[in-house]
Amino acid sequence: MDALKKILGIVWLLLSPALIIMMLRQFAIEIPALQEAIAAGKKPASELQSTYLFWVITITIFVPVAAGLGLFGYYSLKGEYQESAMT
Amino acid sequence: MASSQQQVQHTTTDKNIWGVITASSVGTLIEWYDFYIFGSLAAMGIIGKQFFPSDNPTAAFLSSLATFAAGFIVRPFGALFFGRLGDLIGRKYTFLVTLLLMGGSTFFIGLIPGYASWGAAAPLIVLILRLLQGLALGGEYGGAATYVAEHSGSNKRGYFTAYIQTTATLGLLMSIGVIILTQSFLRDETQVNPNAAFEEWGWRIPFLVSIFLIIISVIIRMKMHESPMFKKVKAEGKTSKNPLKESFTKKANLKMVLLALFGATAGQGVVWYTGQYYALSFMNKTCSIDSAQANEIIMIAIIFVTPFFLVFGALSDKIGRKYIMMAGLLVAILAYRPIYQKMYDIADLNKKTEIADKTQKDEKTELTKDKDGSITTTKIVKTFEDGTIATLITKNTKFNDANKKPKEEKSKSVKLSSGDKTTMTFLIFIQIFFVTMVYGPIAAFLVEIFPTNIRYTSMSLPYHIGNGIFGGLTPYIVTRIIEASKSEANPAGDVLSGLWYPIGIAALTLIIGMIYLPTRTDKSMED
Repeated sequence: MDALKKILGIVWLLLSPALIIMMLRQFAIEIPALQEAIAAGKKPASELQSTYLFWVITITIFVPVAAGLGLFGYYSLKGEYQESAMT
Repeated sequence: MASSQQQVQHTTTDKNIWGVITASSVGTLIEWYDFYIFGSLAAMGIIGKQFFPSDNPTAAFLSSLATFAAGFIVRPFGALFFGRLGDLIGRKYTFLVTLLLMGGSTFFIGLIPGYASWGAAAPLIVLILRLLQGLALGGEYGGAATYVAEHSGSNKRGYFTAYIQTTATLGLLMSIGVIILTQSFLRDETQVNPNAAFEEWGWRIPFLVSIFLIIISVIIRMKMHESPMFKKVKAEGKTSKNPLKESFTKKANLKMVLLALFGATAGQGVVWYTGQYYALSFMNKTCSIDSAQANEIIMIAIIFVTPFFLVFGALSDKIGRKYIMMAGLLVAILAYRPIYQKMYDIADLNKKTEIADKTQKDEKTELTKDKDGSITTTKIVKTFEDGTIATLITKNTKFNDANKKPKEEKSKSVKLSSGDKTTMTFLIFIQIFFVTMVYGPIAAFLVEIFPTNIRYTSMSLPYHIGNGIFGGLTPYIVTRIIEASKSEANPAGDVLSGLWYPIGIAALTLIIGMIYLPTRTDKSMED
């Protein structure tokens, strides 16, 4: 189990920036697409505000959490969660 | 003078534990009640209508959910602020302060005029009060759980702290109960919308009632004594001088905070809020179930399922906390999509046969409030073979000024047959049963992994990030994912798509929890 924890540590370390990039990328895609739809009259203008609000909340809150996952991965890789280190 | 060990031993066998549990639970219950009134009314769309512009109901609903979410987002900050106080000055006085802060904020929300009267100032003030509610709750729960745990013997800690665990669900029950009572008291069947009085001003009553509950709770809590473990640590001069620094800069503690978050509370949080809050929102907004009936369904399910918090809390004293929590996560992951599909199907009118002869149509035209046009309200009541009744209301507003665009508002309300209502109640019961598995043992689990001098701070943070952020944002994120799935080809969107959020988070926690969490935590809690 200790070896698995170390391997998974790398997974969490990689997952952390991947999640941050995914959030920022989705934000960068969604806003221009919505602005286009509003300009074409397909969606109401008020949707832009709620979409911005959603992404500002999501990015502000989940980026530090994702960074925490990276730190968790780092500790895991360093053997901090091995049986001997937990007792 | 008895030794420190004897002092703790004495309190763990003290018969007064029931007094400790009652005093702690009543206050926590009332705080949850205060916190959830807002959420229950937001899920019903009332907060959106009152405090946000009405030109786009979906945007108003999302904005109200965002304000609802703001209360959750600040919970970790409340945990840090009040947790630090609790570790410095003691558990008792800290959660007395949180109680007063919560009660005051709730009462004032009930007094704020709506968007129509105060414009943008109204949602802004509500947001500030909601943030104060979140801060108060962030400080409350950790204190209550720690306080009860520090009075409990190690062989019954899961069972005793499970009483604190019931308070969140019972607080939700109480909020829904007060809303139902107020709604039924103000209901006027002669109106096109029988709930009009409640939606206009009656929703304020549940907020205002809070002040009386808080007074009772403060009186009870004033009689409480400080936790014996904290007293012991204080007497020995071992209290932390800087609990925040000690909790989050010492690797030995920080690694446990991260483990508690990713290996337990994140998944537990999404299961809690999916099973209770999102379920209510799904019934109201997605299935268009009559709000009174949806509330009744949740209430019945909660009443039957609440004892299981105690069952799983007690079971965790015997077989350990870990496997019960992990089993709860696993069944939730596997069952969410089939459960929500079934919930959607039950209320889907396209799958029911209408009795055309029983259809009633009623049309009424009246002047607008400002007398600048007319509103024609068409109410169609359809009856289906299985006993389901659907009410479709269309409001067409035409203005005298030809430059003003006419408005059309549509609403649908489905009242399920008694058979479907039973099935729906069972589906909610199952979801909250999962909650009892993951939530029942978690307070005992959290208090056991941190030392007394920083326990309040350390256990509060992962709890409130897990529940406040991962869990509390569930209805908001899920609704947003569904909105994003809407397209011209599929205007209704994929109503189950949002479930990938709780499923994904619960799966991550299950993996981390199974591999990393210790099977047995330190049950002695001695430092």
